[in-house]
Amino acid sequence: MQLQTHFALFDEGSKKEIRRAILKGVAIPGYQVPFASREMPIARGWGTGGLQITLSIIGKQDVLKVIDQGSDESVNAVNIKKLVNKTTGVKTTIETSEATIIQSRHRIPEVPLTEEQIMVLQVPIPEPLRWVEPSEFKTKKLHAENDYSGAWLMLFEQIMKYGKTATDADHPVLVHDRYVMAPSPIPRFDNSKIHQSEALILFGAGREKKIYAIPPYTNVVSLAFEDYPFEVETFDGKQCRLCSATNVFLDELVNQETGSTEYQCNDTSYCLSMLNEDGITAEVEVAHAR
Amino acid sequence: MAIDLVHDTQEVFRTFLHCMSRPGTIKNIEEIGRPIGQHEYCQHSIFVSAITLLDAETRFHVVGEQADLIEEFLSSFTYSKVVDLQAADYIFIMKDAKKQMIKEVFKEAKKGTLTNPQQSATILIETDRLSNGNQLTLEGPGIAHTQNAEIVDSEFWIAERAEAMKEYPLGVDIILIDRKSNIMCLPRTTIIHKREVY
Repeated sequence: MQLQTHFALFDEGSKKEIRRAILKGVAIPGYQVPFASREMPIARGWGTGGLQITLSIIGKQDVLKVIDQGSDESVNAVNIKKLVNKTTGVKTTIETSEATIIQSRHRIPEVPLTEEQIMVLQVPIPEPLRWVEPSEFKTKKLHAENDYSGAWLMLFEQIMKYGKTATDADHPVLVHDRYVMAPSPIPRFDNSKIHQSEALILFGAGREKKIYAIPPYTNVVSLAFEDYPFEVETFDGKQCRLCSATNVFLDELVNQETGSTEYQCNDTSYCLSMLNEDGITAEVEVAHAR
Repeated sequence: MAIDLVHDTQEVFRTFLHCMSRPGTIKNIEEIGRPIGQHEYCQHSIFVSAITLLDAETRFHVVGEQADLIEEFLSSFTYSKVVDLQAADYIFIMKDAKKQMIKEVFKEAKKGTLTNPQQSATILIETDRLSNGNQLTLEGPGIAHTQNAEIVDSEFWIAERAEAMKEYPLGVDIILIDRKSNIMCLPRTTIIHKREVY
């Protein structure tokens, strides 16, 4: 006997609870709304928060794109896409502009998002103050009191140690002049994309049981000091080895044989569309994947 | 079946999500689900909104001439509990509600606490007509520059709403529903300016 799963896997009660949390999150930008994170058919830490949001908002008309660190084809992205497709029947795509819901881990696509799209980001640690305060009870109080000295202190210590803020990814941001928020481990390069974004951005942390949101056209400022302004990763003078794109986030690859360093677009669907546009055939080494 | 509990509620939710993240934007839900007939004590759009948001975990309150009937009706379909104004997660203000009661709602509704601002009420207001006329100007997250809005009878609650929002992030969120099933949302972050009359 083949059991038919319910549309979008979840029971309606679970969806309702998550939907209510999402609406509250949108109404209080950057505030982490607690929710009853469900057991999922994937392990916690593999995108259960993002998946729970996707399954609760998705409808028959939606087109879904899932990316994992810029790639549409990684195991995690493919499996999440398959799970949603099998339980809902919605169309999936790798084309950013075609998608109505984009679930992502650690990247925001290079192609600008539109008003009709919803970005869903998977979050491992939603609490920007966790590194300075392990107690959830206390961090909730710090948010309530608008006391973000811990976040500033973290950046200050990095400057003292390394001469610059060394956050790499997940650089804390101030949302709507009130809440300091973890933008999920997106590179600093992507922080500007959530400021005054045209698309609604939802964040889901399954393990930590939090949902938060940034509505479109909301002020999002990366934390920085006057004398140490916020800096993004730069790829000056570098370009993608396949499509020659510049001004995008590039991966650094070391050629095992020659030892030389090469750069390639992190956003694979963007790279592919650039190649198609220019009619270039690219040869990619896949031996290591076999 | 008149209402598809899976797909219709999903569509209504997405309408709310779109409107809540873009205050002042109007979307229509008239086509979603079919009215269930003579037992409906409120307009269909209010009913599907309640079905979308309420369940046994939520508590609600209705303000209006037929409050008791509507409360019983919505509760029987959603298993949501009817409670006093002060304890309600969702408050429905029907079109025939007395002005004094509307003011009372904004005064008494839950605004959340600084540690838990999400423990606040969402107020659903039934109104005659919603449009993007130039009676009011909206500003805040979700709005690129400014957004025009015209809400019939909004003068009864605009000042009270502003009072309830005084201490952001505390406040209440509003979902407006008109006679033609148009939806407009006003989250607590939206600032409403009354246009000067020349």
